[in-house]
Amino acid sequence: MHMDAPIQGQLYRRAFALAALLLIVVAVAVGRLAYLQFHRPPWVRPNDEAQPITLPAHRGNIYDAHGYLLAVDATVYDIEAMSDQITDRRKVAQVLAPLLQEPAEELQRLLQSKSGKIHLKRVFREEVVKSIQDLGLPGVLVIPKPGRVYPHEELAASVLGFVNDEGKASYGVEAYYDQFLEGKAGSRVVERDAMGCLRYKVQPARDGTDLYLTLDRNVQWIVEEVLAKAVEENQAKKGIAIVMDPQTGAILAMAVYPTYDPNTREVVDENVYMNSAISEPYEPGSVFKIVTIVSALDAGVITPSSTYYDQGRIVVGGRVISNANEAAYGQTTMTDLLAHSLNVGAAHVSMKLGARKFYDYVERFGFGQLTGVDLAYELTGWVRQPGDRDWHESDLGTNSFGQGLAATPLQMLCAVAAVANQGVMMRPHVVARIVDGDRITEIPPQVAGRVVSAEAAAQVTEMLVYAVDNVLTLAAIPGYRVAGKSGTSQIAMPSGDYDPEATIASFAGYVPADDPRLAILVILHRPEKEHWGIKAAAPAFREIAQRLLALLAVPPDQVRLSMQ
Amino acid sequence: MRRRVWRNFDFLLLITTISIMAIGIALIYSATISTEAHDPLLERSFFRQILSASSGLLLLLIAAALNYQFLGSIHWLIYIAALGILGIVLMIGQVGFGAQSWLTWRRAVQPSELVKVLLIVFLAKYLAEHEERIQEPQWLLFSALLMLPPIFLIYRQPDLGTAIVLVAIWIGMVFTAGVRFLYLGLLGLGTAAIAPVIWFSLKDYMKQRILVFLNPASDVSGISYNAQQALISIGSGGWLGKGFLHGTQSQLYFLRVRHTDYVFSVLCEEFGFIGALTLLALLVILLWRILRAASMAQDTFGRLIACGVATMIFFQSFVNIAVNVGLLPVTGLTLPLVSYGGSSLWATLLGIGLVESVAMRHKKLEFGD
Repeated sequence: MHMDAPIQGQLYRRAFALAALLLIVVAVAVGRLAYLQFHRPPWVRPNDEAQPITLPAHRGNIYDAHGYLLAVDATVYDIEAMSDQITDRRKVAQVLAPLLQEPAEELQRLLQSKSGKIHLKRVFREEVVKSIQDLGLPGVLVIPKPGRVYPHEELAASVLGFVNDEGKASYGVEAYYDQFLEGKAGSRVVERDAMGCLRYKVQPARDGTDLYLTLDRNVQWIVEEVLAKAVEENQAKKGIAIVMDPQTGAILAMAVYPTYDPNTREVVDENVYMNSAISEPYEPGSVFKIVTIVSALDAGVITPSSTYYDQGRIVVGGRVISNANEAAYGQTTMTDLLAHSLNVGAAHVSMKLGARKFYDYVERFGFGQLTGVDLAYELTGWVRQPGDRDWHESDLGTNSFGQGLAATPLQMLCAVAAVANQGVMMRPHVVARIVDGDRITEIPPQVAGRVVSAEAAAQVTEMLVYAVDNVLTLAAIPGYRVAGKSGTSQIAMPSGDYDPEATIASFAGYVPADDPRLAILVILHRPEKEHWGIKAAAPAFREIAQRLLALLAVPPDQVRLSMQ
Repeated sequence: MRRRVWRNFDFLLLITTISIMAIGIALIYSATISTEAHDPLLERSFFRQILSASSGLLLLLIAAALNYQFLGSIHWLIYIAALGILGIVLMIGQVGFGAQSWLTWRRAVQPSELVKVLLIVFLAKYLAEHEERIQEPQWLLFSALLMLPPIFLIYRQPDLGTAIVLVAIWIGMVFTAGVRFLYLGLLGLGTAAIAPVIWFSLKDYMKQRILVFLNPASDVSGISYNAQQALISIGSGGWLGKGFLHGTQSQLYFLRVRHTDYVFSVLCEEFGFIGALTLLALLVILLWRILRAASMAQDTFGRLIACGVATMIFFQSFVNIAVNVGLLPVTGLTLPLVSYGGSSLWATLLGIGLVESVAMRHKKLEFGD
């Protein structure tokens, strides 16, 4: 059993050699461990999986009344260029120009503008992106990003508002209904349970609800087209047009021109984002006479045929008020007062009504208060009332024809629409229904209140039809009875005086007069060519009304009445 | 005589073994708590590991009490038993974890683990018997030929890792037995020459693992996912670790097979560099005690058993650790005494029990008799 000494010795050495070998391996492992404390192999990215993460919710879509998409969450693509990697800028610009729908010279200028990364354009169409990728241009990058896409581009931008790159909703429906649209982001956090072990707690995201608007994209398109044309032809600074269903308060179109593309939001002046129809009060001028006259009729202080003697001027609270054309009309009926838009007559009526009752009616019509329309950043406008520090007796006179107070275009249209709707004011709204998965919430028409009697409203309607038929003939539409009133208001300067040069030309009306389907207001700011509402705004009113009657298939009065 | 034998029982070896197993059980507890916290105790991995460890320790004591010389007298029987077990596995073994190595016998048992210990005993005896002529190349060749059938059977399961362990055990034992360096060198050259043949006989997944290891960027299908997560775990543990049960990598499922193949990463994440050093230190103590037994062994047979067990434990340990720290491609080898798995634990404890048996009957005792 005993071994030879040399073999024994060798075995001994070999065992030690084995031990040494294994110790070297241990040393290598320790070295590697120490190394890993300081370095990480480049392909290993640390994961911060213990950090809480938010799971973004899908923002709800916005559709028009007929289900056409107006706003949707989608992937947008930023086309960018690494200028240093592009050798032939001219060629790249020429190749990209037709795809990006930008002039080649402009692209070339952009490419030469600076070194580094250059943003060329944001693209929404997948096929364009694909063609760009297929070109395989070196240095041209396509960077996908989640974004909000407005497929109709500028259409209804002032109503929709937008969501910026940071995901913040601004203006319009996007901002007003942000809580509905944005949904609720989910989260994943790491928590320790009762057993002491770590685990994920996942709260799934709840997607936002979809909105269907009362807006009809075709109606909106016509209104925007006519408004843009009116602004250009009259060389106006700005145009506003609203179309409402007076019987429901549903807004069918609301346009501001100039406007912007909510996809790119490229504007010179950020004020363009503002929806002037609700956020920019103006002095409504003579359109306001509708309110004065209908109030006096409702109060019973006048009748359509009662008369006053027009001397061309009247003194109210020490202030002289004269007619716009400085003329005197003599013995005049209320109907002719409205038709010829006599300031003296309006002041006469408001004085007859008395300040208390007059301002009572002004308040009932909603001036100085929010209409409650479901759009962001609505303003109240302002009306000085007896008892206010800066109210003056003369205000009763100037207010009667819509000066010395400020209303938003929507307030003005709502007042007119209340007259159209037999004295019942409807609350204006742009969202028809909210769709949350299977749950559909219809937004029913809401009555804001009765402001005047049906009789008074009917009488004013007849007076307004008379006005269009005899005086404001530019607004007349063959086959339909149109009720309407023009307005030409002065613009107060910061000093408090009125700008002698500039006007706001407007026209408000509704059609068909006895069963109104459309209440329309068109406003042009500072028209250069024609200063008067009847000249500048009435043709636009007429074109909008005429084309919408056709689009909505409203039969001419004769046809409609014969069917009843 | 019985009493005197037990007086030479190496308690330090036993205590080190138990310490390492205790670390392993703690790590298994941590690694599985997020998946098994609400399972009944008997189903939980850490508890089953405790049961395996307890029964394994009993096995260790029985093996220690048994005179290893008896095993030497039946070494051919042991060899045939090892082959028989592998043959049975090949025939009736069920497919589990991609390998056929689990026998359905109440709880799944992995027979190739036991086969490693059996082959150590056989090879130790065979080499000891031919000690005088071990310098002659044919004996080296014979021993290699005897090892080939079991290695091939295990490779066919397929369990490349264990097959490589057997090769390592063989090299370690013939090296200790005193084979000439020239032959070992020639063997190395021969292996290099047939390397392409080996490469083409590898299964696809094995090739993939090696390719991805050599070039991590080539990993398109996420094969190196585990390896990367292991590195993140180790790196994120820092010097002192995130604390027991606080490892986000291991608790939040990023690290898979974390109670078996990647238990070392859990250790590094939760106990940091210091924790890893502690385990390595315990392994070195284990190595020292086993090789001490080898140096004191009364005969070559005992010495080779100890060296074989040492090679088995340490080759596996360091291959596993090297995989964890990204020094070797993924092999599927577990960390002995630490990783979850009853068969592996039993096999390792049986091996240590044999080492105890060798240590208890060392030569000083002989002189004392």
